[in-house]
Amino acid sequence: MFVVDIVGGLGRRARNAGTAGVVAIRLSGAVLRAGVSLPRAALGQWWGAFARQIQFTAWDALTLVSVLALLCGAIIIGEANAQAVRLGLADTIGRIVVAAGVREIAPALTALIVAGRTGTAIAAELASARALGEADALDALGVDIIQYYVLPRVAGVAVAAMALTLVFDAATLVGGLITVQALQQMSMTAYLDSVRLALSVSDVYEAIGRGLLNGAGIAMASCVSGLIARRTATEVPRAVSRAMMWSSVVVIGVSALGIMLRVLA
Amino acid sequence: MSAILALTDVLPSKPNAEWADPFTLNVPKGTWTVVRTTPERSHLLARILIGAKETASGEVVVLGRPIGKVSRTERRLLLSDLGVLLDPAGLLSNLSLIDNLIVPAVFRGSKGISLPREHAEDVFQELGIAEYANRRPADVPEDVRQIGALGRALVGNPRLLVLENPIASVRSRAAEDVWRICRALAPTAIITSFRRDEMLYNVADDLYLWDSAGLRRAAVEASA
Repeated sequence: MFVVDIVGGLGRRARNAGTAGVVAIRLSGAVLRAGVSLPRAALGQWWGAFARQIQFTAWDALTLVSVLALLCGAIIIGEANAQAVRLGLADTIGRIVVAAGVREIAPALTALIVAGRTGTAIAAELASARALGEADALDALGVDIIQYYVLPRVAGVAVAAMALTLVFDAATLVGGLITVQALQQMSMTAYLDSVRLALSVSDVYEAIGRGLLNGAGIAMASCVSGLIARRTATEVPRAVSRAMMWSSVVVIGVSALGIMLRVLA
Repeated sequence: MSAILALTDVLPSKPNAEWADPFTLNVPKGTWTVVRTTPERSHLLARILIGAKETASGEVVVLGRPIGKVSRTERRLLLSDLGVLLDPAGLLSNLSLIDNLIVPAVFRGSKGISLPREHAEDVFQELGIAEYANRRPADVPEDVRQIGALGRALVGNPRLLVLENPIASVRSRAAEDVWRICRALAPTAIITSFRRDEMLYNVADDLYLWDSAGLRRAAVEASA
């Protein structure tokens, strides 16, 4: 299949020659071009796939992410509180939660949850579509498989990961608040003031940006992993494992990029 | 008659013991051509015809365009004028049979179809499988699935049908009806197959046998 061969060729080159960055840029370009040239008649189908992707990635994972974020906030406060109070730095609690939880842990942990739940599902689905000849059949009918398979998944997972990152951020702060109250070492007002002082609008923008980048990167890595699979059933678990590995690289890369940009700023 | 499909001295890109000699074939407009050969050659030939496999040499001209040399976008536009059924048929398992006709049609731009659903329903009606339209491929018998996949190739009034091992599980009498309807909907077709199919030979204009001795024309009646 022509398109899959191209994507497969790109994937092999990335593995063999270490040109993953070039592959990512070219694939991003292909996805953008596919978005621009999407036939008007297909918009209804496309929105349906996009909405289903958001539902699966964000809505269905909301409870899991919220509980993890509450626990995360509680753990950060639990660890930091005793030291901070002992050193007379209680007003830094909010700063610690924002720096550790909101800026670093929330985007990375959310992205890893998305990679584990959604990325692997996408890779398995597309590798199965390859094994069953579905992707080849669509290509043979003149359907752009990037438009059909990749575009709604990349857009849907990007939006969903962004929303989940914001939810994770909010729940982490709530988890911290509950823990502070439970430990009775700081008033609610003092905690909220401390958080407000530490939090800035740029933190929200960063969370949005990292969520979108993580989501799009995970979806693209997973789609490529599925679409380069050979046409056998045994390729499905290999595609899943490859997707998880590549997604982890994306998450770490985006985290590193975030830190670099913050240092430069 | 002008050739709607022309293969000249074609060799596959990867060396292949079964396909070692250059392959030449013309399919004139308004004819149905069947190439009976081995499974591997049938598989390769069908994919080379639609530009899904590259060639080492020679030229494949489909509807006047060299399909192996055009850009990705041009290839997709060219394919939207064809009706293609490969083996395996690759019906999308998460869609109903009728949506398997509609979704590819809308994603490739619905060329020539103003109302994809109505058009797909008409095709199903003609092929006699309308009662299965809203079932998923896994929930229908194999022969219905194969006719549904053939229906997908017929949506959009293709100028050329490219079929690989079509409707092998369909009973003879039903197959005869299906082929008659296909012939009416698609005037020109090339079918590659490794199976002997008398019903198909009955509607074909030209039958070629392609074996180790090369490609040779066979009398349709004699082969049947």
